[in-house]
Amino acid sequence: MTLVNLLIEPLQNYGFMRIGLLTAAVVGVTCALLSCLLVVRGQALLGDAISHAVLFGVVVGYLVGGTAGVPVGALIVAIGSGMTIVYVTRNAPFKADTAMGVVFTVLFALGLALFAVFQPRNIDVFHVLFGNILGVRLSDLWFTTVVGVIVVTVLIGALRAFTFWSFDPDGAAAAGMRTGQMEYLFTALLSAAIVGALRTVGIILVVALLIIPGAAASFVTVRLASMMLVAAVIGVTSGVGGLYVSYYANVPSGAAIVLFAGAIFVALFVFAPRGVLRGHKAVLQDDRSKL
Amino acid sequence: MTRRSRVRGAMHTRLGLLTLCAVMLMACGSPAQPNGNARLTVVTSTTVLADLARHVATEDVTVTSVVPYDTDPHVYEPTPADARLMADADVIIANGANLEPWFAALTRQVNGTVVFILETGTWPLLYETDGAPDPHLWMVPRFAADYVTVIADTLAQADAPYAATYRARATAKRDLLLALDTELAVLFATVAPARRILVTSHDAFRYFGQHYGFQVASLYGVSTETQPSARQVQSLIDLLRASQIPTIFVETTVDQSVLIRIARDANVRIGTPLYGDALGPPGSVADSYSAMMRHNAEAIVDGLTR
Amino acid sequence: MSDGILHVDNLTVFFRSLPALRDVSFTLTAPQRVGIIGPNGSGKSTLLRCLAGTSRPSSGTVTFNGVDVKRCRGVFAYLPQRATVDWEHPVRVRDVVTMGRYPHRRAFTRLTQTDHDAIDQALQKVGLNTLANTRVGELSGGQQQRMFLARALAQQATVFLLDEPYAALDKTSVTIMERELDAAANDGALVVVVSHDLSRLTTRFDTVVLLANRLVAAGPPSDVVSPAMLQSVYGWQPNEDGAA
Repeated sequence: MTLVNLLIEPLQNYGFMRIGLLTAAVVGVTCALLSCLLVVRGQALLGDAISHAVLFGVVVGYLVGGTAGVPVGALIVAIGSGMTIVYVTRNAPFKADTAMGVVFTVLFALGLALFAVFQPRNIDVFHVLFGNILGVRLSDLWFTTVVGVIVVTVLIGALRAFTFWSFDPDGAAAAGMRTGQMEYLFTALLSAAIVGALRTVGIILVVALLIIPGAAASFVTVRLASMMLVAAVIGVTSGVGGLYVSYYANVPSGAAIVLFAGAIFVALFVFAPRGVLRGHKAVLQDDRSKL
Repeated sequence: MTRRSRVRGAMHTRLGLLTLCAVMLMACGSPAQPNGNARLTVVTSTTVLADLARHVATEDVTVTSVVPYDTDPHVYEPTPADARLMADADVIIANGANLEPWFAALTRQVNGTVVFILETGTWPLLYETDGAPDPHLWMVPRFAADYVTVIADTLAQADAPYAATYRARATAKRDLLLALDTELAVLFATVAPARRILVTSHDAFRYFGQHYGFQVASLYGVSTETQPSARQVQSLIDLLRASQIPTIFVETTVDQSVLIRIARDANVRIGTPLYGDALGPPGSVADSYSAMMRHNAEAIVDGLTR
Repeated sequence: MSDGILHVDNLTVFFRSLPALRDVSFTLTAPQRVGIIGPNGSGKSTLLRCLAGTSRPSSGTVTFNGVDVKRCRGVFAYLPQRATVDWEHPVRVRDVVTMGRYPHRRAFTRLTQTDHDAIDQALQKVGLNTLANTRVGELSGGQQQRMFLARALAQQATVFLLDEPYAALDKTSVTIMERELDAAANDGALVVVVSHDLSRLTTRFDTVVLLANRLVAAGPPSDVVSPAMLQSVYGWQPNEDGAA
C-alpha cells in the first residue's frame, strides 16, 4: 500500500471524501489568508466572537426561511455583529475586547434561548457547534466556494490598503486612505469566511483555522505576502490531512482538522527558520495586545 | 396536556401565567394543567413511555412526557419548567440504562415515586465494548409488554386503592402487545434473507434486529452524543456496497445529512423515516406505540423488498 | 509639486471636556519649512493630527487648497511618533517605503517602473538602500525615522507632517533627515515639524507657530521667537542655543 494509494483510494471510492476534501480545502485557504492579517493585527479572537454570534443567525434564519434561510441568516448576523463590534469600538468608550465580549455572548445566548423556545426541527445544535463535514451537500460546497472566492478576491485586491492600515493606521489615514471603511470591510470579509466555514468545523473550532495557519506561517517567513502563501498551504494541508486522519484513525473530522493544524504549528515553531530551534525570536509577542 | 402544545403556546401562556401565577400555582401545581383536577400525576421521560403509561392508567390520571414528540432523548436539554413538572409529579417513569443521562439529576429533589425501568429487575441487555448498555429494549413489543408490567406495579404502589384496575388494564395491554409482536413477525417473513440488513441513523434497532432476525448497522452507535468519523462513514458505505439491500433508513430524531450522503455514495435509497426514540405528534403516523411499530414495520418491509 | 495652501480655520479640539486647542486659525503656503513649538501639553501633537486628518476636531476646519484634509489622497505624509506603529509587523524596509506609492495606485494594478524608481530613489536619499530587506523591527530608531521619511519622499507628498522627528536620534540620522527635508521644501513641499527643540529656529524654519492650547503667534521666527513672547508662554528666557 503505497502512500499514493493511501491518498487516492478514499477519493476514488467515496463521494463523501471527495466533497469533504474540496470543502475543507476551500475553507482552509480562505480562513488561512484571513488568519495572517488577524494574527498580525492581534485580533485573533474577533473571529471567535463573530462565530459565536452566528448561532443566533442560524436559528433566526431557519425560523424565518427554513433550511434555505440558514446561510442567509448566518451571513446577516455575522456581518451585522462584526460591524456592531467595530462601530462600538470606534465610537463608544469601549475597548475592543469589551465590545466583543458583550456582543457575542448576548447573541449566542439569544440563539440558545430561541432554540429552546421554538425547538426548530432541522437544526442540530451539535452540528452547528462542531461542524458536519461528512454530511456536506453539493449546495453547501457551492455556497462555501462562492463565498471563499469573493473573500479571497477582495482581500487580495485590498491587500495593499490593509497592509498600510495595519502597520501604520495614522499614516494611512493621513495619506487619505479611508481607514474606517477598511476596518468595516475587513470585518465583513471575516464574517463571510466564518459562515462559509461553518459546515467543516463548526463555530467552536473555526477560530482555530483563523489563527493557527497565520501564526504557524510567521515562523517561516517575514513578509506578509509569503506569509499568506505559506498559511494557505498550511490551511489546505490541515483540512485535507485532518480528513484523511479521520478516515484512517477513526477520529471525528472537525477535531482531526484542528489537531492536524496544531501539529503543523508545533513542528514549525520548533524547526522552522524563524522557530525556536534556530535561535530566532518568534514574531509573536504578548506584551503588545491589540485585541 | 402534552408538552408539545405547551411549547407552541409558550409565548401566550407565559404572559398569562405571570398574572395568574399566584392563584394558579396554589390550585393546580403544574403549568401544564389548566384545570388541575387530576387524581394522580404521572411524568415520563419519553413519549413512548407516556403512551404505554396512558394505556395502564385511567382517564383521571394525567400523563406527561418531558421530552417532546420527534425529539431526541439522548441529547435533550431540560428546562426549569421540566424540573417543576417533575417536582409536582406523583409518579416519575424513565427508561434508564443511559437513554436519558440528564434525567437522574432532575429526580433528586422530587417527592413522588421514581422508577428507571431498566434498572429494576433483570433484563437481557446488550452491552457495548466499553461497557455501556443499549437502552432501546422497548423497540421489541414483547419487552414493551414487560415495561407495561413494571409501570403497572409502580402505579399500584403509588396509588394502592386503584391497584387492581391498573393491573387489569396492564394485562389487557400486554396481550395486545404480544399479538402485535406476532403480527410484525409475520410481516417480516416476506423479507428475503439476503435483504435482512437494517441500516439506520443510530443503534436503536439492535434488540429489534435480534428479535426479528435482521442484521443491524448504524452511523452514530448507541448514543447520538458522539460524532462519527470518516472511517465509520466509509465502513457503512462498504457494507452497503457489498450487500444487496436497496434502502437505508433515517430517523425522525436524528440529523439526516450524513446518511443522505452515504445513500448517494452507496447508490441506495433513503426509506421512509423510522420512529424509535420518540413518537410523532397526535394525528401523525406514529402517535402511539402500536402505530409507531406498525409504521416502522411497513416502512422496513417496503424499503427492503424493492 | 504645485503650490498648496493649508488653511486652518477656528480649530477647536476637546479632550474629555478639556480644551486641547481653542480657536486656532492660520494659513500656511507651500513651499516652506514650518516649526510648531510650545510647552508640554500645548496641543502641538493634536494640531498635527488635525492637519493630517487623523483626528476629528470638535469644531473648525482644516483644508488644503479648499478641500477638507480627510479627503486628500496622497497629499499628506505623516510621520507618527514611533510608539503608535506596530513594529512586530512582518514588513521590510522596502515594503514600508512602497506603501508611499499606494495612494497613487488603484486596486489590482501592478506597481509601475515609475513607482519602483521613486522607491529606489527615496531609499537612496535616506541612505537605507543597503537595509532595504531588513525587517522593520530590527532597525535602530534613527533608521526607522529615515524609513518613514523615505516613504514620504516616495509618495511625493506635498505636505510633510513630522511629530518630534529628532527625539533621541543619532547624529547621522538627524543630518540626513534635515538635509532631505530641506531638499523637499526646496522642491515645493510644505514641511511642518513639531519640535521641542528651541535652538536655531531662525535657520531651520521659515515660519514658526507658537502654541499654548491657543494660537499665540504665527510668523517668521524672528518675530515669534522674541524673548518676551517665549517668556510669556514658557515662563523663562532661552538664550541663543535654546538652553534656559
